[in-house]
Amino acid sequence: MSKKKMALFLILALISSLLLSACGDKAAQKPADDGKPLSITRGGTLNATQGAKWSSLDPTLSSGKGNDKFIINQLYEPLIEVDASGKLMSGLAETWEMKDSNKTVILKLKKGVKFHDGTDFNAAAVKYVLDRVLKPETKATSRSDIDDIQSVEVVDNNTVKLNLKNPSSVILSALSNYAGFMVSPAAIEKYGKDIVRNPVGTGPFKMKEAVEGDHITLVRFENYHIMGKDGKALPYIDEMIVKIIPDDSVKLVNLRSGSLDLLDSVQTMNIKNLSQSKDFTVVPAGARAFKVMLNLSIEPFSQKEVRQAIAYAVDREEFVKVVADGYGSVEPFIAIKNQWFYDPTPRYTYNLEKAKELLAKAGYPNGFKAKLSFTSREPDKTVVQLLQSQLKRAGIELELEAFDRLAFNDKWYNGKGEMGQNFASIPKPDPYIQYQIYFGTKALFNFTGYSNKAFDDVLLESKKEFDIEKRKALLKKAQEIYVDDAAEIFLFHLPLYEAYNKKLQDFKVDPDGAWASLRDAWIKK
Amino acid sequence: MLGHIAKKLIAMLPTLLFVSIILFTIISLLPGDAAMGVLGEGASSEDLQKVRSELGLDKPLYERYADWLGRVVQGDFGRALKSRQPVSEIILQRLPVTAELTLLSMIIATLIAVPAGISAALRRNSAMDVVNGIVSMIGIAMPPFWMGMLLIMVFSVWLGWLPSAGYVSFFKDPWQNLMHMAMPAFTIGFAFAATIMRQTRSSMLEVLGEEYIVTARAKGLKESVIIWKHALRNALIPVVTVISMQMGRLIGGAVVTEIVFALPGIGREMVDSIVARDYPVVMALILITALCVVLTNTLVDILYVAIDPRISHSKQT
Repeated sequence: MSKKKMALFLILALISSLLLSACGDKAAQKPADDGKPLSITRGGTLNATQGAKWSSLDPTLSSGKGNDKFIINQLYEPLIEVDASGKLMSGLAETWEMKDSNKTVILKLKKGVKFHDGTDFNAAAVKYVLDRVLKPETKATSRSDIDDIQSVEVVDNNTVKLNLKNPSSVILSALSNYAGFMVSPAAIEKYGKDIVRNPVGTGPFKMKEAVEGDHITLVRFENYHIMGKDGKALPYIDEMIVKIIPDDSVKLVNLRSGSLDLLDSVQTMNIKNLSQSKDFTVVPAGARAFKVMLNLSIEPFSQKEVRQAIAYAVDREEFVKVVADGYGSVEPFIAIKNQWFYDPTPRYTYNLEKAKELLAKAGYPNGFKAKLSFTSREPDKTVVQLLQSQLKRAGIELELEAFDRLAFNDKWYNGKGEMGQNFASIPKPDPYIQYQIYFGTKALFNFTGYSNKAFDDVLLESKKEFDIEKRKALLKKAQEIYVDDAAEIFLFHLPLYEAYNKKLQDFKVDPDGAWASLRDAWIKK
Repeated sequence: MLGHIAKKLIAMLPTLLFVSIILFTIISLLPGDAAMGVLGEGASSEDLQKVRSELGLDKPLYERYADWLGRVVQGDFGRALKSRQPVSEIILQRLPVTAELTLLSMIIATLIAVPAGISAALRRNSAMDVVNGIVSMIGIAMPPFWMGMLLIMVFSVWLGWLPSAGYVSFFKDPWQNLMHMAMPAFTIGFAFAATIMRQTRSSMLEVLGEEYIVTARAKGLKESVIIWKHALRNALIPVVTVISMQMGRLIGGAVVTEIVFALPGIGREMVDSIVARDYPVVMALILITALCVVLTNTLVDILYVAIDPRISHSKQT
């Protein structure tokens, strides 16, 4: 190669490398999908929707559980916050400390925080709110989450001491949920029972107006205590309107027409289509563990062999294909894959021969007939029909009984159900709570009448244990005991999804699957 | 005339009382615990019991009914069990929406149906008549839910002309109000128009065959005078009857339509309250609906007299 050619080659190489790097730079400057390189803009109205109407705007008296949290997260703040992975973070309590062999919790509160009514958030307010949750007359459903608390003491204006009945590794997570949301004591005194429709918290938004069952309008709280990236107080969004739209198809069509920016749920059949669109983002938000409950106090379900036979007679993969449109997964228990205590060990796989063998052993060689009650809604209707056809192969004839939700609960609360199809909403703030409320002896959602001291003891031990590996082992043991007893048959997990317009930035989901606080969210102009 | 109206209004009272007794009994017989509706799933049995006694749900049925009736007579409908919103406030918020929806639907239905029915009758078995017949069959057969979704797809998603959900009060912004109500009102009005159109057509055909129309034609009266003055007026009586009889159906259609278009009317609230067993709200809303139906029937009775004065004479003799 001559010198001239060599020089030309080098120049061309230099130019092409410059061009390539320029292209590369250009690609890096292009705004990423998550919008991070874009500068944050303030203002705007966010139009959101929820399927079910809220039951109460007072977190202490809330009974809607998941449904209320979407709005409560905007109006109130908990003492301790938790991210979607379950990690604890500072909330209204800046720091916390476990003392006296984990029997005391010291909470150091954030200073300068005000409630929407202008009153100060301080240690006295924390004591007032927690005492109210714990008082039986309040009838707070979240009372059981924090009933480890013996008493609440005000140490100074910004320090609270919680005296526990026993060491509890659960209490901090519990304070991140309904029981730990701070309501203005002055407002509780002022409104009395009507506090459920006059919310006063410390959250980034305050209520402007609410038409029960139709919509609620929230506006930014100008004295909010957290600063934004631009040095001014959060939130960035001026106004948030949450409309109640019960029908999923109606919600979707409104998202597409631009009337709505944020949905609380998307049916699995629409996920693929929406996530391929350039205008919308679909995010996972919790899951439902579909299961069959068996009434242990009646024949033949009082026999473990019969229960295990049902567990073997179920073809779980078929549920994922038919009901979950391929989005679900087969799981052995009610822990989700990304939870730290998740244990994947399967106990039952589809085995018809084994099922028939167990039935014969229990004295039912030709199977039996039973009534299966369920809530008349989708996908429950599809689930029970599939279950009916699957169990028929093992000789179990199911008569399907459809109920509306309250009638279904009435039947099972009063121990009148035989077999029932239901689901557990997961995750919960802590594994102890997640397992205890469904399976503990006489627990709130234990409809089967299951009571096994070995299970209760192991679970209680896991609550007192602070070492994560040891806790994990104890929770695995609890899972093994329950799955072996088969008081409930676990079918599959159906993940839930939420969708929003891409112009909404920095949107997050909380561990319950509700919208997390939208204080950092902003609308791209 | 005033005496006649007063009598009609007094006759409404036993009907409403009867409706309230039946309704109260049915709601109480429904399985499902109102206390759980208040406290939610996961409430302890002690707490449920406390709420039941607070709400008086543990009292015998007749006692509860008497309590409720006693308060209603004094104008107190009570409060919603969970949200604690006064029921009268719920009615005031929601009734205007459903009333406007019903009224607009009725206007749209009449504007479409009466001219279409007349033209179909005048050109019997023509192409126009056949098209009218097909369109009205579609109107009757198409569920309002689907019709509403189709309208949203076309006018909101594709064309972007009309808002797909929500409500703006007429007094706040009349133009926005009509924009929001256009599709819901058309959804109900279209289905309703089909029924009225068929009735107008057959009723007109019957009247056009009457001897007095032949006489009018023989006298050389103008065709427009014969149709609008002589035929239509007589043909309207059964049409008005059909319109009034459809009132109940119209409110039924409103329930579905309010869900599709996310309108804050009484239909949606009624469904939610039944699901939550919130009986003060259910009782009040259904009674109000019953009152509307009964009032419409009374109004129609009065309209009969306006359309055909012979009716009032015949009643007086």
